[in-house]
Amino acid sequence: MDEFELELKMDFLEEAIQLLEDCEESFLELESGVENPDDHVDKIFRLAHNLKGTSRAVEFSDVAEFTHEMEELILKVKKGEVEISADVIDVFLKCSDHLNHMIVGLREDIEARFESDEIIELIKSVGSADFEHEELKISNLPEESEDFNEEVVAEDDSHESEDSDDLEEEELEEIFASDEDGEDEEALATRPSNDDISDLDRLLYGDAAGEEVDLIAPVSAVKPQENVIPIESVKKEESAKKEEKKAEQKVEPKQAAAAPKKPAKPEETIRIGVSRVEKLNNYVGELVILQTVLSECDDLVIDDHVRKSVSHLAKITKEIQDISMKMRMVPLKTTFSKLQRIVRDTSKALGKKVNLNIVGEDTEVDKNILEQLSDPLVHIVRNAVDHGLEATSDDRLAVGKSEKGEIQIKAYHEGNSLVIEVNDDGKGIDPAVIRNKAIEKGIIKSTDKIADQDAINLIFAPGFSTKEAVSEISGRGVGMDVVKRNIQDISGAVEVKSVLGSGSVFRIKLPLTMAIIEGMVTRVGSENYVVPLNLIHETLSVTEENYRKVNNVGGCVVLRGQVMPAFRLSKLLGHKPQEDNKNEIALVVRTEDMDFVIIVDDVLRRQQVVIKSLGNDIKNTQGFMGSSILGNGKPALILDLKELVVDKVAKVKNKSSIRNVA
Amino acid sequence: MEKEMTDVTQRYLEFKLGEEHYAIPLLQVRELISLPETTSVPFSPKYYVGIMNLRGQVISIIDMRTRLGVQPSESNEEAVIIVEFGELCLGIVVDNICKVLPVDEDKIQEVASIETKKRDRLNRVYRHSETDTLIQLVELESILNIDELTGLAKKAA
Repeated sequence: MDEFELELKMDFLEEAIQLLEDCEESFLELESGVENPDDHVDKIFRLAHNLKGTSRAVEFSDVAEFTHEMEELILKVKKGEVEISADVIDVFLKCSDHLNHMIVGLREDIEARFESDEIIELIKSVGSADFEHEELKISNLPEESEDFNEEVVAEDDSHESEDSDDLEEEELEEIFASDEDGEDEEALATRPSNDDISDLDRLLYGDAAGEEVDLIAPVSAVKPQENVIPIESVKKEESAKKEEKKAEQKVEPKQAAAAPKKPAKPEETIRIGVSRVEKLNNYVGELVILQTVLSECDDLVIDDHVRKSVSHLAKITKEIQDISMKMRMVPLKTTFSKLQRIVRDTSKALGKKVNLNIVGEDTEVDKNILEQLSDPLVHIVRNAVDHGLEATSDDRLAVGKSEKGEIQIKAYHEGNSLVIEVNDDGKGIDPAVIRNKAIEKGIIKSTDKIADQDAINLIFAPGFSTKEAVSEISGRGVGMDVVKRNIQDISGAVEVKSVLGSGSVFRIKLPLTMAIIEGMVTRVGSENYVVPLNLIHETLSVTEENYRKVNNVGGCVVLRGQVMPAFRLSKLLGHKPQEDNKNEIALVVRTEDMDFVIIVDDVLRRQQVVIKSLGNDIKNTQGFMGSSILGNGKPALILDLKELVVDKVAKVKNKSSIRNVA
Repeated sequence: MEKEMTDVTQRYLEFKLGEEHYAIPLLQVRELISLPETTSVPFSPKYYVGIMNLRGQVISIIDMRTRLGVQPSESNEEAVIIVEFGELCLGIVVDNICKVLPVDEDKIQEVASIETKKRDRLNRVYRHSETDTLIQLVELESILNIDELTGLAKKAA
């Protein structure tokens, strides 16, 4: 395979993932009952068609063949032969899963082949069942229809290529050729009596054929948006026809309703490699430093013109910095649509009725954070459906709630943070139950008296899972503690509030970006170090009253009666001891596990710093979470205080006497 | 007369550590800079000078002289060679940079491998025919033992 071909294929896979995400979203929207289902069906059809065309062009025959089948089914939906029901959506989602599986597989191994027979049969069963049994359209597809379909499918299958695995060129040709003709024939055959429908078909096919040509042309040129216009126009004609022939009054208000809702044409996007963005960020950072240097020379400049230019440059530099920082930001949309799917699948498996409400899916967050946010969110949402909501609708009705459980996922910005809330209106968390459970598991002692909120927080304790039986959905015992840790890993925090009987809220608070942190620049000897501000609770100057030396271990600081071990940063970092410094400053650090004090020679300022990862060569160095370039252009290390003291604290703890001093 | 460039000719960058001549493949060299301001990293080995800001990228600087145990020369011409190989991007401090040297692979001599304490592989020597100097060809990969580097300061705490 030459490089160009490989590149094309990789491009395709990237694009396919995007398309699939869009696709799934539409399926789910369809299911939740949107006002204008036709738009969504059209959209899905377009996506599937697009996928089929491009996958063929880059010779992923398995994908092409499968999407072809999928497209057939969508077409049937489009033509109204198949009613959109939960079961049909199920099949669609299965298709989308299968496609995802294939695409991901191909990304790992470009030569990978896939078996799609089973799912193709499933697809066909949906279509043919409805076709044979018109009455099925009315209600959901009953399960037994599948058995019946087996026979039909067997017949149907004979003229299709049997196994995608040994698909030869010729066969591919055949499918290629049979595609348009076959579909047309089939379509005509299915509804010979209905004139308007076949008219419609022709219209659609005319369009589809045109699209195909586009797609097979250079892949790189394919842009989904480009297809919007022709199809839209067809759609208009379609509805016009409907109106004419069926005299459906509904069409008009529908369109009217759809018009304002439709967002402006989505902004065109290009994909950029992360490394490029990173490089740009680096250069911009450098630009900012240079600009600062230039501004500081202000006094030396006599020429007014130059001075003006410098201040103008400062403004522009700021703008550029803003933009380059925003480049890493992506909307939460894709993650939220994944959650939508989770809610759907989970509620279905549990037989619960759930109404999902998503707010703020356009909220943006750093891509790196988003990637690590997905798993914890899935867990929390799943929990909300499984544990949060009442077990049955009857339980809900009994306490005077609506039959459907409400789950709300809400994202918004709060200062420099992103907040995501997962609300449920279920039964709430019972502190008493948690307390008992925690005692049972040995997390707390039966004699411990703890407040309700503290009890609720115990769900984040390691090895805690309240559900009696470990279910398939949630509760594998690795629950919330992992969620909490994952969120903390990206410098976030999670908290839970719950009102017994009326629901719970999980609130995740995250930094908007991991690229920038709020830091405190401190001095130790002649070196500057950055300490992340989020860990520092307060600062105070070290005086004889509050600092006690303890043997040679170090010392401790007494703050409002609390004794905390204190460490000199210079010692932790192996610097030569300084002569007595009268102006030392103590940083009070509060973490989950312990509180301690770090003593530095001086605190210079507070500033936002851009985190640069350390090179591979010193990446694993303990005690540093990265480096940053300060205003003077010199790099400084960003300290990971917890890691720095972790060994020392163990030592200190052994000397239990430390707590009794003072 | 120098031999004409052939397939077996490779280009090296020749530099001096103390009074001795060394060379590394030119392909690994990204750029040459003068010694910048550096920030030291606690608990790093002696040869690890610190980190520097290379146009927004933070990279490590290593002193080749300390690493190889060569006495630095009296001259203050220190220069830094930014090398790039594998996933690493590093700065290497040397005494001074001489020139780009075409090396005829045929003329590289393997000397009996010298077992130094650190088991560095410095066993390829090139004799410059005109000046009759011996130039040691350095294999960065083995000199800058990556494992050793990544393990830097793991002992820190």
